[in-house]
Amino acid sequence: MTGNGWLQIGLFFALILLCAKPLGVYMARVFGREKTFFDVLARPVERLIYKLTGIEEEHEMKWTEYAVAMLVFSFVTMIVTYAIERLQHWLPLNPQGLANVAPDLAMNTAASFTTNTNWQSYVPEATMSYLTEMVTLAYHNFASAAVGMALAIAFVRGIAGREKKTLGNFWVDTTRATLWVLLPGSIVLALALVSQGVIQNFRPYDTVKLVQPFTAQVTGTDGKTITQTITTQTIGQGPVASQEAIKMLGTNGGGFFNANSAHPFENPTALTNFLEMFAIFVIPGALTVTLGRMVKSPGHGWAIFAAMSALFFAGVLVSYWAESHGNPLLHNVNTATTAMQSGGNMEGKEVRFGIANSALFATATTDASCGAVNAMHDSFMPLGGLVPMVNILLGEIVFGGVGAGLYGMLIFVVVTVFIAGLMVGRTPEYLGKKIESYDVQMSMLYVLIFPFSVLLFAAVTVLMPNLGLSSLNNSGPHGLSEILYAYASATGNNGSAFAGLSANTHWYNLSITVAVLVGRFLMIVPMLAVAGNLAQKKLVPPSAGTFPVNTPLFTILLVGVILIVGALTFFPALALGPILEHLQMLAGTSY
Amino acid sequence: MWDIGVLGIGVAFFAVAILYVKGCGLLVKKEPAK
Repeated sequence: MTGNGWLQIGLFFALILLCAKPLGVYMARVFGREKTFFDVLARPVERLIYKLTGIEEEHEMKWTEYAVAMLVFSFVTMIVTYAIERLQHWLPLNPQGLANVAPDLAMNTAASFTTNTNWQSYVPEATMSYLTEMVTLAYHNFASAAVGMALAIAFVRGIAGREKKTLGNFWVDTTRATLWVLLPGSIVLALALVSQGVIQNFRPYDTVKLVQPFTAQVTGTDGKTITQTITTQTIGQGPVASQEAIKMLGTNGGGFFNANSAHPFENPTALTNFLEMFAIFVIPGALTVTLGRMVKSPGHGWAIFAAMSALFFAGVLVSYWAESHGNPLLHNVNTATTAMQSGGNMEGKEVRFGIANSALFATATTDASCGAVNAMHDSFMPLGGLVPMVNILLGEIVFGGVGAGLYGMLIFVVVTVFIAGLMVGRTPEYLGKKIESYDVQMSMLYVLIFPFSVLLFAAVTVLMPNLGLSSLNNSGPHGLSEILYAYASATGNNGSAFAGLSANTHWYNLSITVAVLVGRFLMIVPMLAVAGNLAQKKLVPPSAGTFPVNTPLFTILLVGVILIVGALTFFPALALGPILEHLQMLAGTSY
Repeated sequence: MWDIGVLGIGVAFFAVAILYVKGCGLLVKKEPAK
């Protein structure tokens, strides 16, 4: 680890902290339908959308109506995405003449992008036409992020509401999230990325002659393996910058290229790397301030921000430490950090980013439900790879996905307040609302669905040699990590992968389709149920037994509850995966 | 055939999800808000 590395990590966090209040206050005004400086541009478009679609913007929805609207919207857009993927060969903007996407892969991709997961079982530049990328995948980058923000705001309204039966209007919240926050932010970010060299065009792919031809074993059309001299390389093109911006800002993570943010056309410079990491955290960080303002307890928002920050720094510390120390089994390799080399474990990392920015990116992208990568997590050291996995397994509530991180964290707050109430023997209260059995039941349903899906799918896959294990590139504990990570990433709607797994098979495509849907929608419903129930409660005046939720003690208790729930649930699986791999590495065995 | 199969998974999931909303909504009625 170097001072320079920590300086960059510190600068990144300082900027997130600096932007949290202004952006958080702005979003509170947007969702509170107060005046903002952007109304002059966005309000006419909003009115036009409601006029064309027949939406009554004053209509308030109960939590059940809000949930059904969200489900119907997601279902329809998922099916449209599937149809376009299946028909892309005959549709315009396909200069490479790419074939229609196979049914299982098309459904996997449609479900994945609808749920903000962006798991990619395919090589984008060889599979998706420009039309598919722009009309369906980039569209979902906006829509799924806007839905996440709407849901978080609905939960906040549930906390803030007094004897109300409604949580707002799903269509209005989604529209405002897109027009006031995601769209302007993406335009600014896309222009910044273009200025740094990220491409934006509709050209067919370039074919260039290699400076140094090489021979390779390739599979011919008859299925036989032949040796061929490779003299040219195809270089992908496309409307990358516009997709890259919302990919990061909406914590989506699906790359235009297979190498994702490690590709020089997606992330060419240190500055674009910094901007992309900043884009992951800026909205989730600011939403804590939005929460504090909307529930009229700014201290509570900052207490949650502090809990997220503590977990973030713990993750980045372990990841940076593990990667900068490198692999002790490489005896004859100089892994020292000098002015001329990053040192440490550089396998699977880009030289232009180095150790610190790869560790920071990996931590941020899995703290949030982003899933973009600028380094291959599969090539991280065992403990370095443990960090992204743990971040996902904790529920991606460390700043988290746009909206999803906040409502996930608020469920943990309800559980924390409940446990605190048990400790002192009083009915737990959360910001003046009594937490009762239904709230705890629904919160625990939310908490338990996640490990149920992750562990069930991982266990079934491990037990099926022909379907699950045949896709592995690594054996032993690392192979288990690849499978565990895949289902954690799918259910957690993250989308990143331990890339050693070849996931474009019928089993993985279909099982991951179900996992992403379960991880998104079956968790959202109980969350909205808690919000709806909280909204209709009376406020209870604070008393001596009230547990304050804006103090350092609350922050410590919240972090403790998150870690204990995560550890109790996943420690056995992690012990058989990355922890065992680390111990075996120390004993001289590598996978 | 594959199209029908994978679309069936999607339709079935969202049908279950709508019922799930109803189920979670029914549970709350057992305990009136205080």
